[in-house]
Amino acid sequence: MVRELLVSNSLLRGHTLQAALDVIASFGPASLDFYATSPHLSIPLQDKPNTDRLAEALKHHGLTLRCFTPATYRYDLCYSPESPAGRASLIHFSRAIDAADALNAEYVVLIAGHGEADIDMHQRQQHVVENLQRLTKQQHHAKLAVEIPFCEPSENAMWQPGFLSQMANALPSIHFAFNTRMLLLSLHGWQQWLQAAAGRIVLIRLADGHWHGEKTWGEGIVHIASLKDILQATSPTCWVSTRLHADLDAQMAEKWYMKHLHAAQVAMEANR
Amino acid sequence: MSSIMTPFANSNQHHLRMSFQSFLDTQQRLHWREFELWCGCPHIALDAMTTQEARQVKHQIDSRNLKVVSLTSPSMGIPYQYADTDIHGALRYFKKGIDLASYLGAGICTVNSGWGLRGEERASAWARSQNILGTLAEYAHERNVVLALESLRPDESNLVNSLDSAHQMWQEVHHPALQMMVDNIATGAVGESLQDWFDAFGTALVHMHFIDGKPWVHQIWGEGNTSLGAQIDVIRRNHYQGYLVQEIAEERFYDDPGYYDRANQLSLMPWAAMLQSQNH
Repeated sequence: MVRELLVSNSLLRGHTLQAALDVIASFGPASLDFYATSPHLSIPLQDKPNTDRLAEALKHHGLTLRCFTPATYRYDLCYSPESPAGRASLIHFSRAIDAADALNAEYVVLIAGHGEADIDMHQRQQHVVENLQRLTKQQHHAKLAVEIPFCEPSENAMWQPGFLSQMANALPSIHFAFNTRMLLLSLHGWQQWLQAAAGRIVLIRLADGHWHGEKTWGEGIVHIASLKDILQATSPTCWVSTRLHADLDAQMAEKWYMKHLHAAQVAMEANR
Repeated sequence: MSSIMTPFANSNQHHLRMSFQSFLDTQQRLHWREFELWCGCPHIALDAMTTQEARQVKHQIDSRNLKVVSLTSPSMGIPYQYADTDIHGALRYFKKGIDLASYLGAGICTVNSGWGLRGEERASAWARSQNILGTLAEYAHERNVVLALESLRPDESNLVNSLDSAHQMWQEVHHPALQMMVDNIATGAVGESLQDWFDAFGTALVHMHFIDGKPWVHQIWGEGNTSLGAQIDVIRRNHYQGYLVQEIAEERFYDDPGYYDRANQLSLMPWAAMLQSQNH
């Protein structure tokens, strides 16, 4: 198996599903990192008719769904599973796993947040482990991956390579996803993160930008050379995704895609 | 019972990186009694909220002698919006917000038109929005709650994004429980003044997101380019009796929201005293 580039619908979330898939399919046969958000697929409504409709639309457009990433809607793995927000988060993520299964996704990527800043950092870390333990008990085919969020440059940030190592040990079936902006701006250095993930990295998301947010590819701190280095340090089966969080018109989205696809292809070519 | 800050009500939205308890403790410490309840996580998980959780929320608020004056069911970055193609799901969700407002004794739910999708006719989205808002207005009316419709910025919505389109929706829904509100960031973004909205809606203008801005961002007073004195003057001249909610929502406020609450409070306090003396 070789490294594969995944295109995402996340840039087109202001479009109807049909319109979004038309844009994506215009790039040719593609594999998808499907971002599950309304109106493309609403997680609270992921019943069989809706997932069947989506599967049919993907097939019609010649698109293969590899990876399923639910929008978080401010739900978070860092909340106490006993709190109202934690309980609601578990319901949301559990439904997302069901939807990923129904669509035969290979991985479901849960984007982590930071929880409530006034709650002790170690307590929040414990909540992440507890929540994932509950979710992995659920019967499912899709494998679970956690995407590590962008972290502030602080020694007190709850997401740290040390915690990731602990997670990897405590949760042997969990995989990891990263984005390039987070890796390159991290206080700890990207090598430490990749090392802590213990070879269980399934997806690198292309994201450029700086401290204040994501930017168009080429306008931030991520260069193709850095991307090549990161890909070199991951397994050759690790996917690369174009998932970005924006609502762009078709023309603008196409420009974004082209920049990202080009960068990814150059970096991937260098790593063959 | 009013507080030292009436008619300025705060919001919990910019406390979204903190626990709900932390927000409530901060308001109690600042003696800022009234607030608009933004029902997003981690404070409120509206979609999955149980009766018992609603009771807990009420207890947390009442035990600190705080008061919810209005409620916002989030409609951005969540699965539901007011022009949703899933009308059933949207109605179920927004009705939960109205139920919670009624239970907490908040007389107002803020609403917007939602937005259409790229790849569809605007008229279809407009019709869905009108249908959803009309149904919700009837539901709210039965529970003594008023819906206050705000416009959105043109980059947020292709439906109600100006005074004219707000007026059209208001007339077409035509229900006593659908009233109007100004979000002065949305109105400022399209060059409309507070007086324009008073002229158009008169006493149907019942609520405000009253913040400083440049004018595109929701800032605390003193940081933007809006003249607070001039705005208060318009409010006095038009005998406005509603709340002036501080929906400050810039990301840099999120890590230390209490600091910005205090800074905003210091700017507003003299005006609160003046408006209170005028109203009594």
